[in-house]
Amino acid sequence: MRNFLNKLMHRCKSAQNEAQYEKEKKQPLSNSLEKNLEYFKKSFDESADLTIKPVKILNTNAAIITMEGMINKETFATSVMNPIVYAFGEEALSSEEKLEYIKSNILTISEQIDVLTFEDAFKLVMSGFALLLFDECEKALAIGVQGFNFRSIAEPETEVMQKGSKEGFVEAIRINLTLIRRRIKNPKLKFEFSTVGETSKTDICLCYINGAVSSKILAELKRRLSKIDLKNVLAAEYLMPYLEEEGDLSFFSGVGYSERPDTVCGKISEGRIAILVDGTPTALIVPYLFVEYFQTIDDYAERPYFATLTRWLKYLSFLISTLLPGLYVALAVFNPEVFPDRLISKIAYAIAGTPFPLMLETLIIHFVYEIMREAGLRLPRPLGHAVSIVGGLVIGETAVNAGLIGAPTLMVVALTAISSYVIPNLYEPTAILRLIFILVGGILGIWGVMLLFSVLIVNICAKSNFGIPFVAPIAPFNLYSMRDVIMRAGWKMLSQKTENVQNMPH
Amino acid sequence: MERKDIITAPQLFSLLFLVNIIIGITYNLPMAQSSNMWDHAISAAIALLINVVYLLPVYKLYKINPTMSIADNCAVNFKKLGTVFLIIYGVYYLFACCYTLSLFNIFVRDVVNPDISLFMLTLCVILAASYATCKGIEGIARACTIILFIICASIAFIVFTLIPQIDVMNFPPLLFEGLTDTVNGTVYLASLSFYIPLAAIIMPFAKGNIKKTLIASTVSIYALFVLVIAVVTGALGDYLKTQNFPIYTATSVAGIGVFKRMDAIYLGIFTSGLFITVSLFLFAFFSVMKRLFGEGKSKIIIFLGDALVLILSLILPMFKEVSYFFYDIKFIFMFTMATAFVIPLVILIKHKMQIK
Repeated sequence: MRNFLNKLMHRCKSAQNEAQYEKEKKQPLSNSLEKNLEYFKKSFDESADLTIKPVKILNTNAAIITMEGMINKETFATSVMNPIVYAFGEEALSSEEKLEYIKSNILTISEQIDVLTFEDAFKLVMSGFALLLFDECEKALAIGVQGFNFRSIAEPETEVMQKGSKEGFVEAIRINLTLIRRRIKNPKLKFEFSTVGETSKTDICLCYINGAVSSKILAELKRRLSKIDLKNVLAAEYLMPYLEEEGDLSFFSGVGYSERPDTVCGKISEGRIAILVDGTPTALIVPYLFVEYFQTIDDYAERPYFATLTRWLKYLSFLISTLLPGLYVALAVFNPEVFPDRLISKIAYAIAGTPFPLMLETLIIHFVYEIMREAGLRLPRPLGHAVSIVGGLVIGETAVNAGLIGAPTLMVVALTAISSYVIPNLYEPTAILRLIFILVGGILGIWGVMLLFSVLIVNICAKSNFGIPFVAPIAPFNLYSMRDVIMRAGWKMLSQKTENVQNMPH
Repeated sequence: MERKDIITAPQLFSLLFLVNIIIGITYNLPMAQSSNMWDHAISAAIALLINVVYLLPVYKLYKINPTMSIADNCAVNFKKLGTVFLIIYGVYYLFACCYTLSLFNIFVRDVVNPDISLFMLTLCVILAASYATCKGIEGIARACTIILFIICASIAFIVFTLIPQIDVMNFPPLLFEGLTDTVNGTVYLASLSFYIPLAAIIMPFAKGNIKKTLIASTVSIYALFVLVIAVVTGALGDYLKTQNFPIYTATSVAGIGVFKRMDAIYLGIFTSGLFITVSLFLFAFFSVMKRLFGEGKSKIIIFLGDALVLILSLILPMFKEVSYFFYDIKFIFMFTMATAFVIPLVILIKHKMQIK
């Protein structure tokens, strides 16, 4: 009881402290340089990366606050320190006038922001700005000298394309903005910053084209972003559940993502909104339609007839990766008569030679495959290859030779696995679904598989995000949109009319 | 009442068309008390006319107030009698569920998989259909468009594979054995017009030209029916007379080149379509119960309805005494006529009298 009361009191106290801290943070800067610096030190708890450099400028005490590793030291030295330390001018000016004088006449850096509160001061210092504080001045100046090490721009490994650009997003949000701006040189392209995460204060940026985007969707997106109550946002994917419709339990996501600036630019120009999150090389795209999972940037760089063929291959691969193992189990167990005679004799021979029921055997192989896949993903590359060899040759071939699993089942699982990589963005839902299909196929046969498939169709069809049906333009049907769904028409036809996402039938 | 406008007229067409296909797929000669399928081509033409007449009061009621379903019309125009009408509609929609599900059970048990657990299968169909009902008419309608496209492509393929097997000798002269087969066929086909009472519930959700949609769905289904009768009779001939599910039998003998055993496609069509059909009737049942008991209680009632459908559709194939009554086409004909034509007509007359 006493412990409980102590804990309760402690919790109340820390909540009070937090509230006090939040209140103090919003307070304006003090007139006294000493008090301001003291508050900074106290707030950062003398953190090692907080750098405070006291200087005398125009005969007034001042200080420059920076964060170690967040600024470009060369720019800071040549464009900030040198000019202000050697600055000369009228010394009879007040501190505020001196700050204005430095801002207008001495500093050559264009990015300068007046700061009035501690909250803004903290945010800017932690974003790589240098904060210039004068004694007897209630205002500070944030100078843009950001510069930190980041991964160089490279082709994203998860979205490798044969043709087109080899650039991918990086972790630094500002670099990602330039990657988009370089591709859409249009003043209507707008970047809108905000922060999410109570503790992490992660910068996010909405990218859209004014006029192309639906104001209704934009307002709804902002509303949903404002409702995010996460403490830390360390990856863009953290935001995905908050961008879906409330109570949406669908297997498929109505929020797309891409690491490629060209893909994101294509989506933005069709009226979608991209969300860039600082620290993540992935842009989220809303609203996202089901058919878009099957569209890649390569489709638009290839000849239309070949792009149409690859598009159909993707549809087929999706069906194979989801349905094939379940159908195989259902038909082999309950309706073997539908197989051709020669094939059924081989399947029957394989089933008879293995100790497990077919459903269990298929499930086991799938689980083994998923384990190997996970291991291959997490291990360093050379070891990953070793896992593939062990998995493919040792486990697979030996198990078949030893009569533990049947060769047809192994082939079905292998074909399913390969097919699931044709649409990598759909890997997660298909992996779960195929396990469910195997279970249902093994218990209820073809009836169960077809029933579950129908339920899946309803599940996808009933889904909407931001008021746009997830399966548009298939259902509700729009014949004109089929030029980029059942086929990939040539650019002459595609460029006749840009289809904004909000104009999809609904 | 506000217009709901959440499905389009083509979606309404696909819903009605699909329901008809699934009920038509279970077509069998013993139930029609007939031995000559070819005469049913004439029956289809007569049944088409009967359905057009059936549709008139339903459509007129819709035109008077497009926001009101038949359940709303029953409740608004009558007090106690309205409740009776609502109960009749509720029972009818449950009956339609049981009818399709029990035929499905008979088909699975007697024709395809005698060793499968019927209880599990029926339970799964009902649970899946209830899930779709919960997702709403919008989700069902969108899914129906996709499923109908697959079904139509499959039917076209099956018909294409059966065409080489058609033998002109299999077609007896029309009305060769008198009018009895045609009359029985007409009653049978008209009794399976479950889509009209269903349309009376879902029409207010649709936007677009409803009149054209109703006519198109009625004409299309009978045109398809005549085509299937012609192809199946031509391909199977006298063999038809011994089959409970002649369309399934035709698909199992169909084949062209490497494509054989088309019955697998039939199984797929039947299951997907059945799921949509049952979910639609459950949706209609739910709408009626909502009108009768309010939103909260109707959720419990629909759960009871699900249980009743499960029990009835499992029991029916087991007891001949019950099933003779249940599958009696005269009973179904009267029941369908009451819900598709008589009750809407009574409401319409009452409405006209009120105006006068």
